[in-house]
This record gives sequence, structure tokens and C-alpha cells, in this order.
Amino acid sequence: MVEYIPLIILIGLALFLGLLLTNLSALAGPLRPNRIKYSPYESGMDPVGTARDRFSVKFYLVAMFFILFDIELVFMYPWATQYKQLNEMGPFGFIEMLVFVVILFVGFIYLLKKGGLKWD
Amino acid sequence: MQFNIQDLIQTMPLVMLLVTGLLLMLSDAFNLRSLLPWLAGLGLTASLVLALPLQPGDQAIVPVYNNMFLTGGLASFVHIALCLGALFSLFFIQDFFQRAGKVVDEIYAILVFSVIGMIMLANSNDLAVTFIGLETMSICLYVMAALLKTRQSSNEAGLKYFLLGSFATGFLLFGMSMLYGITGTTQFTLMSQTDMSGNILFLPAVLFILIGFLFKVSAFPFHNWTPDVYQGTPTPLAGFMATASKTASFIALGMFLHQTMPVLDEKIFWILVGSAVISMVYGNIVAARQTNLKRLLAYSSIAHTGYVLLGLASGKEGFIAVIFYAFIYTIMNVGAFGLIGMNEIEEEDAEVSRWNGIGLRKPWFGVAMSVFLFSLAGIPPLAGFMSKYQVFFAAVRSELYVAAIIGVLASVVGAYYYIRVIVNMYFTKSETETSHALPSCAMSPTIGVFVLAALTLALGIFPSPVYTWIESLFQGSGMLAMAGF
Amino acid sequence: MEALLPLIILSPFIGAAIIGIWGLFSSSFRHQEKLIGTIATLAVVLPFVLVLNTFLSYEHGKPVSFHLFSWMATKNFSVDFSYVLDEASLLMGLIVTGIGSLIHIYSIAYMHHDKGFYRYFLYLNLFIFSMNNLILGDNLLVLFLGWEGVGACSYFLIGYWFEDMAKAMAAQKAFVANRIGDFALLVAMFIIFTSTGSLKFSEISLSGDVAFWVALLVFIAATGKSAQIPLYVWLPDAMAGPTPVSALIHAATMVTSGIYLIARMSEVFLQVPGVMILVAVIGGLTAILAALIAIAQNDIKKVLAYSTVSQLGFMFMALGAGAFSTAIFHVMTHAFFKACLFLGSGSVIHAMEHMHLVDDPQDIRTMGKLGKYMPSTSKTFWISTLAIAGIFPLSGFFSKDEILGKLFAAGHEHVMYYAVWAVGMITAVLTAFYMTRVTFLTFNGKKRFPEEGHPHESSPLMTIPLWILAGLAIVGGFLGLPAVVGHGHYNWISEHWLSISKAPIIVNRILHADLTTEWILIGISFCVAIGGVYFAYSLYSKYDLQADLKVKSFFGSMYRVMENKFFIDEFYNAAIIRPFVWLGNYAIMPFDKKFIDGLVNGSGYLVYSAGSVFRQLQSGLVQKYALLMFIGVVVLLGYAIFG
Repeated sequence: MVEYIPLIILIGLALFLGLLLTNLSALAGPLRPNRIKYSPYESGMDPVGTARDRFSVKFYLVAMFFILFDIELVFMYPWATQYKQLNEMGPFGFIEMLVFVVILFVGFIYLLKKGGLKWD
Repeated sequence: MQFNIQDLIQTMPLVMLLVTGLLLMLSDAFNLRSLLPWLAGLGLTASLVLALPLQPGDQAIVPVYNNMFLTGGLASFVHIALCLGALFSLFFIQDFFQRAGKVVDEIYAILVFSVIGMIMLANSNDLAVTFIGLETMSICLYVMAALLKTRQSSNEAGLKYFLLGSFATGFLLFGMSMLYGITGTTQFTLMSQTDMSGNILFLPAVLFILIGFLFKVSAFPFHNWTPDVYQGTPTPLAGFMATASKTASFIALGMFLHQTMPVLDEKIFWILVGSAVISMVYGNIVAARQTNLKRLLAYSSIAHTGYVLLGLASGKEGFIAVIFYAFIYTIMNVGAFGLIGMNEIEEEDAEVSRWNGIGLRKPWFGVAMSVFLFSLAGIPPLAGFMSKYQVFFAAVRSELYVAAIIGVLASVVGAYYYIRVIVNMYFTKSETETSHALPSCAMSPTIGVFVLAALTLALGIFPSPVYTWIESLFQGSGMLAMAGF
Repeated sequence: MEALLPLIILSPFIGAAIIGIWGLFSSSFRHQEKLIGTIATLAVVLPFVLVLNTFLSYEHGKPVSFHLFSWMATKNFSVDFSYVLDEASLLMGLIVTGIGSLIHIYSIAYMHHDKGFYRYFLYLNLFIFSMNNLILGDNLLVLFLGWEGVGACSYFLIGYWFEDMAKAMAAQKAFVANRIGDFALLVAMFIIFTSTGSLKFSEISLSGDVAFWVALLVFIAATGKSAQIPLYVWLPDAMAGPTPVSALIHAATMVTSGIYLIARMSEVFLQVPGVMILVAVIGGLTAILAALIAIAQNDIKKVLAYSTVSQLGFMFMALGAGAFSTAIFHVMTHAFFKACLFLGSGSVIHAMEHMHLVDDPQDIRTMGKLGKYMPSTSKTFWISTLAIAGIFPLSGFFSKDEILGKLFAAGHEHVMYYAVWAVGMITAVLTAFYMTRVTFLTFNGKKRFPEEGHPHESSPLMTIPLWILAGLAIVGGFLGLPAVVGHGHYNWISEHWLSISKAPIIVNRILHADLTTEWILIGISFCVAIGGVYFAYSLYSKYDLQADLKVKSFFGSMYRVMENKFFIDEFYNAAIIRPFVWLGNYAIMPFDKKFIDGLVNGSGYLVYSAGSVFRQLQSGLVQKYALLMFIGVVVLLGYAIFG
């Protein structure tokens, strides 16, 4: 049991810190509210209204595709920085990334042909 | 970091599957619909053939890619078993979706990708690979559960499985990170060389990983999702889900436990045994109360999980029995689910009452279902008897007497509800004449049923070749010998 | 001929496979009754010929064995499909295949025009296959294969006429009762294997506590299959099946497999006298209970069923006394006369059914005077009745007398055996009485069915097996002449054929009473049987059906209890089934509903009020499931850390 004391201290600390940080700004900062300030997004869009508004599912699709391909491209950055070292072992590094890109490309073709990017 | 062309050759079967999966996606994209099942079958068969250990030296396990992944020997057997599971399911898929009135071409790619995930999971020697394999498999399974978009229950199944699965994966990942923290390595074999016994984080780490796996195999107390998910999932896929994914998880769990711990930790051991015993009893009791065949088989699969966990707790001999059991279970359960799928157009067709008198209307259908059910109940000379017998036998040899006796008792009680289905098929008159078009007489599922029923019978009478094969693979696997076997 | 021996096992299987596969795919084949019947019968006659041939050329003490292939061969566990023809298994093999052949022939006529003709013979052939595995297997696992196989076939045949739910329920009852026995046998097998490392009969040697547990478990297994207290309830219900099936499975062969198993394990049983006494006592209780019930039944098959239970009780008494070979002797004679009785009742039911005049073709109250119309059936039925009643010199006299004699002799070992002997004597009187009653009411006395009815004698296909069995019932007893004749030298079965005191065949406890006692016992047996038959005959010929009222007044309020089968079914219903249902409905379901839901709802409420994070992420049941999982995690973690 004694071994767990640090753990308990850690949990306590985390709780304390969390509460402190969330409440500190409210306590310490100046508080001059108005209607605009309280709206969740200060970008001009009115977040209040009927919840039954319909969004086209295509928005979500595009957003999802974006995230997918974006994240997979992020994979290329570390590869690029390490390319020199990889190249020392022959064409392995190059081929490996080629395979990756091909797989990605197949996914892209699938997406295109299935009409994932068609708007109407 | 060194690339070795030999590694690539060793993993050819897996590469084969990957290529098949990609080709399936492309064919689907270009609307080559009629090609899809053939291509999937061909790819799975090719991969299976590539994995066959043909040379005498193939008995040993060969670690590849810096000891991250295992091939050859036992790993090949696992590969073959999982490919077979997918192939068996393939017999039933197209016909089922056709009758359900839903064209789902992507299922073939998903199926193949899920097999890749399963193989990676089962044959991994590294926590990272385990996790990637598990997730690849799971994500495919989530999609499978939700494939019948027109059925509410299917959507529900997909969502439930996804949410709870992610929940369980969280524990698994947490355990993995702790284990990495303690040992400084992600490799199973290296972990076994680290003395972890004194570390207070060790038990929670292994336990969390265990919990992740117990969820995947639907062992008590992480079994809640099973009936709902199996009920909603398109039937042939539920069969695949209940067998192949469990096979992979069982083997991964066994490899993990046996390779990281030369001697199974006592508490982990008792958790395994406890979960096994409760799963057997709970699964069998609750299954007796079900009126829906898919739910019934779901609870029965919880019970079967219990038997297998008992085997996992019984050392090396138990592990051999577990692999054998999982293989047999795949055959008979894919068959049973396949048959339910053949007799299903709308969701309610899986109700037991819809099966009344079917054994007399369609003799071969009733015979095949009886074979699978009797085998699941463990009645000789069907395959289910020998596999169950071996597991209990291993448990007895590990001096788990009470657990084995409870297991035998549970399985004896469990026979009751399988028999109830047979009563409905043969001894009860059907009240509705509406389901006369059923069951399906399409070519491919019919062949599938015959193959599986024949295998169930054949492996019951001649279990030795398969069993001794697994046994010899264990002898030949140098790695397992090192890890305390 | 040696090379042909595997056909003993394979031939019924091949027969079943041909009929099954052909019948599954060709609907025209299903109606070719002659072809199906011939295939099925040949598949059983061939093993009979082979067994008979082996029997005739058998050299004493030199078992013939044959081996098909290895079933399971692993490093620690191996078991083969190998079989042994020794003294015990040959005798049983002759009974099974011989009576099996006769019943196949009989069934061709009996099942004529039945919708599922091919299914019937498929099951019947499969049954013979399983039964051959059971008796010939040289290890427990092959025996278990047969054990389960005969159970499954019996299950299918009981529910064969599925039209009414009661038959389906009877089938289910049989299956569940048998499974309890199977459980015991499986556990016994595990114990045997862990302590001896083999499942072969010839390698089993146990002692001490292990022997006790194994003997007890094997006995429980036997009570399931051989219908003894407390598991006998399935057998009377099993009469829902076709009558030839009742003759083959539920009288002559399958139900005796428990006795055969105990006899095979005689060496183990002899080491635990306590269990032996238990066996005898249970046998005695079953015998008298079933006999009492049989007196008050009016369904001809029910009477025969209870009489089977009662006779099985006799066999268990013999086993309990350590006279294993005597039990086998009674198995044999019982197989002859009981099969004949059942087939005879089948013939009667057949005739009654074809009259289309009575509601229940099995009710003896609507029969009477059938002997005039069905001479062969009547004569063979009477012969068998006298045999089962133990009338000298029919076969039942010899085997029953030997059992009672051995029980009396075993009284030296433990006084309990005297009590069992007394019970056996009373049962013998009752047996003579109720069997005479049922036979008289069926074939003699007044005609109680409508005047316009003209029942017909059955076809030769049915009467020839009857005559053969009746003949065997007459002469079968001479195989085991009592010890008073030539000091037992003429008791072929016990003193010659099964005399080898060597496991795994049969080891007998040496039991000898002096000659005077033997003579007295024989005299008592003789008088008891004659008395019972004479009393019943005179009573029923005088009052006909009204004699039942005399019996009723004799037994008083007890009669109602007997009529209702001692309320055993009701008792089981109240004591076992109802609590189970109750447990399901009021304990497990509420546990699910109230406790777990409460737990979930309670904690859900906590989560709900603590913040709405959970609520937005999950909805409905998933939340509960996740929470349950979480509770599981906490418990396991708690155990891992603090446990």
C-alpha cells in the first residue's frame, strides 16, 4: 500500500491543478460580460436556433477525407528528414514510401470512383 | 535497423492478403461486382497455400522485422486457420446480402483486411504490432456489424461494438504503456528477460492488457456487448466475428502471457480461471433462456470462451488444446451461423419458433444444423467433443479439478438448449407457412454447409492429424521453448 | 474371418450412411420400403453372423481384438478405435445384433407406410452402430462414444412421431436425464485417466478413495442410462416412440448398458463394498417401486415399461451382491422375453389401431379376448409373461432365482442383503401378478372393444420374430442351471463362460450357499411365481376388469399413489424444475434487472449529476454496459492489488 502513496499524491495534485487553472481566470480576470462575448463562437455565426437544422452529410465526408489524407501525409515528414540515412541502405527507404503512397493512392481512387467527392 | 529481403519472403502470405485487399477495393471501385467473391476467395486461398509449411525446416517459428512479428511454424498454422475461417464465411456472405436486399460490395475488402489484422494480432511479438493488428481487426469488425444499414439492430450493433470496443482498447493501451514503462521494451521475448516481479506496476499493466483481450473474447465480466452485437450483425459475419476474431485474440493472449511470463503470475492465473468458470456457467445458464438463435449462440460463445480460457490457464498442454479448440470452434460456429443466415430474410427469422419443423421440410438442412449443434454441445464423435475433451483434460492435468468439473457440468447442462433447437426443428410443427421459400438453396452456401459439416464429422473421427500437427509445431518452436515451455 | 471383424462396427454405419445420404437427396428412394428395409436389415445381420462365428470358434480366455485406427494420439493422451471380443462383449454382442436383426425385420412390417420410413431405419442402424461401439470398445472413450450415440438415437426415436408435444417433451426428458449420467461418466473418466494414465479396460486398476469415487460416478452414470432411482423417470415416458424401438432400445439393449458398464468395472466395484450395498439397495427400491406402479397402469406399454424398470432393478441387485455374471445372465433372458413382450404389444397396438374403433389403442381396458383373433401374438405373449413371472422351466425362473440366491448368499457379507433379498421376493410376486393381469386383460376375458371390430393377426414378418424370441425365452434359462444341479457345473454362463476371474472381463464375488438353502430358495421362487400367476389368473378370470377394484381395495389409499406413479414426476417438478424456473425468474432475472440495473442506474445517476459528459457520449444501454465493464475492471484491479 505504501507504494501507492506517490500515486495518490499525484492524483490529488492533478485534481488541484485542474480546478485551480479552470477557476483562476474566472477569479483573477476582469469580468465585464455582454451578449456577444457569451456567444460560443465569436465569428458571427449564431449558435442559437433550432437544433433540427440539416447539414448536408457531405460536409462531414469532406472533413473526414481531409483528416484522413492529412494525417497520412504527416507520416511523410519524418521520412523526409531521415531520407539520407535511409538511402544508405539502398533503395529500401524509397520503395517503402512508394508502397505507402500506392496504398494511399488506391484508397484515393476508391474514394473518387465511389463518388465520395461528388457534391450533388 | 536493417532491411532483410528474407523477412519480406517470410511475410509473403501477409503481403498476398494486402494485395488482395487492395485489388478488391479497386475492383469494387470499378464496379466489377461479379469478380469480388472469386477474387477474395482466390486471394485467401493463395495466401493460405503460401503459408503452408512445406519444407521440413518450416516447423520452427521465424521472427522477422527485428523480432516484431512471427512467421513459420505455429504462426503459419494460425495464419492458415484464420484464412480458412474467412474462406468458410465467404461461402455465405453474398447469398445472405442478396436476400437481405442490400448490395454490400465493400464487405470483401473489409473481410480481407480484418484477416490481416487478425494475423498481425495473433502472430505479433511486439506490443506495437499487437495493437495495430488489434485495431485493424476491430475497426473492420465494427464496420461489419453495421453493414446492414436498413436494419436498426445492425446500426445499434455497430455503434455499441464501436463504443465499448474503444473503451476496452483504452485499457489495453494503458496497460501496454505501463508495461513499456516498466521494461523499456515492447518485445515479448525481451520482456521475459526482465525481472518484473518486484514492480508494483507490473500486475496492473498485465491486468489491463488482459482486460482488453477479455473484452475481445467476450469473457465475463466483459461479455455484455456480445448478444446485442451478434444479434444485429449480418448473420454470416456474426459467425466470422464469433470465431476468427476470438481465435486471433486467444492466441495473441496466450502468446503474450506465456512469452512475457515464464511462470504465470498467480493472481493473473486465478483471474483467468475465475473468468473462465463464471463465463462457462453464466453463458450456459443464460443461453437456455434465449428464444433468438443468434442470441443463443452469442451466449453459447460466452460459454465456449470460458472453456478456452480454462485451457489458457492450463499451461502448454492447455495452449495446444486451445489452438485446436479455436480451430474446431471456427468450423462449427461459422457453419451454424451460416445456416441461420441461410434461413433468414427478415430479422425475426432467427427466432427459434421460425425454425419449427424445418428438419422435416428440408432434411439436409436439419441434418447439417443438428451436426453443428451436437458438435457445439460436445457429443461424440463430432469434432466439438474431442476439442472440449482435450481442454478439460489439460485442465485436469494442471490440477484444476474443480474448474474442470464445473466445466463438464456446465457443458452437460448446456447441451439442453442446443437440443431445444433440434426439438424445434424436428419435433414441432411449423405454425406459419410464410417461410416456405426458406431456407436458401443457393449453390455457394449449400456447398459451404456441406464442407463444414463434413469437416465437423471428419475432425471428430480423425482429430489426430490436426492435433499432432499443432503439437509438433510447438516442439519445433524454439522461441516458445525459451519462454518457459 | 479375422479380417472381416471390423465390419461388425462398420456395417451398420455403412448401412446408415447409404440410407441417410440416399434418402436425403432422393425423395423417390424414401418410399422404396423394401429396399431400405433390406439394406438396413442386412447391415445388422452381417455383424450378427460375424459375432456368432467368433462366438462359436472362441477359445476360452483368448479375447479376439481388432483395431480400426487411432482416434487421438498425442504425447500424453492416446486412444484408439480398437475393439475387443471377449466373453462379456461377445455375449452382449450376440444379444444386440441378434435381437437387433429380429427387430429390424419386424419393423419393416410395423413401420409400413410410415412417412419417415427411411429416417426410422437410419436411426435404427445408427443405434446398432453406437451400441456395438458401446459394448465392444476396449476403452472407456469408445464406450462413451457409443454411450452418447445410443442416447442420441434413442432421443430421436422417442420423438419420432413428433406430432404431439408430449412426445417431444418425453424425448427431451430422456436426453436431460441421460446427460446427468453422462456427466458422471465423463468425470469418472477424467479421474481414471489421471490416476492410471489409460482408459483401456485392461489397464484400469484403482484402489482406495479413487476407486470409491469412480465406482460411485460409474454407478450414477448407470442409473441414468439404465433407468434406476432417481433417474428412471424418463423410461416410462420414452414409450412415446414406435413400439419396436421400445423393444430394442428401451428393453433389450440400451437400458442394459449401465449394467454392462458396471460389470466391466467389476474389479473396481469389488473394492468398495459400501457402493456395492448402495447398488443393491437402489436396485431393490427401484424394482419394488416400479412393480407397484405397474399394477395400477392401464396402458399396455406403460406396464411393460415399468416392468422393465423393475427388472433392471433386479439386475442391479445382482450387481450389488457381486454376482456380475448373474446380472448379465438376467440381461440376456430379459432381453428375450421383454423384447418378445414389447413386439407382442406392438402387434396388439397395430391391430387395435387398424380397427379405427378405439380412442387409445394402448389401453388394455378396451381390449380383451384378443387371443381369439391373434393366436400367434397371444401365445408368444403368454410364454413371455410366464417367463418374466419366473415360472419353471422358462428362462426367467433360472435367472431370477439365481439373482435371489446370490443375494441371500451375500447376506453373509452384510445383513443389508437379506433385506434386499426380501424386497426382491415381494417384487417377484408382484411381477407375476401384474404381468398376468395385463396379459389376461389383453388376450383373454371379455371382449371390451366395440362388437363390429375384427382385429387381425399381424403379418409373418412380425409373428416370426415373435416366435423366435418366445422360443429363446423358453430355452434361454438352461444356459444357467442352478447350482443345485451338479454343483453348478451346468451353469454354463456363470461357471463356464464368464468364470474367468480376470479383469477387464468380469470378476465375481465368490458367493455360495449350502445346498439345502439353495433348494429351499428354489422352492420359494417356484411357489412365489406360480402363486402370483395363479392368484392373478383366478382373480381376473372371475371378475375380469372389475378385479381391479379388488386390488384397489386391497391397497387402499396406497392405490391412488401407485396409479399416479408415486407422484415422482410431480415431485421432481416441484423440487427441481420449479425451483430452477423460480431461480431464473425471481433470482437471476431480478439480479439482472434490479441489482445490476440498480447498480448501473445508481452509478449512472452519479455520473449524470456529476457532469453531462457521459450522457452526451453514450446513450441507452451502452452506458450501462460500459459501466458494468468498468465495475469489472475495478473489481479485478482491486483483487490484483489488494487480494
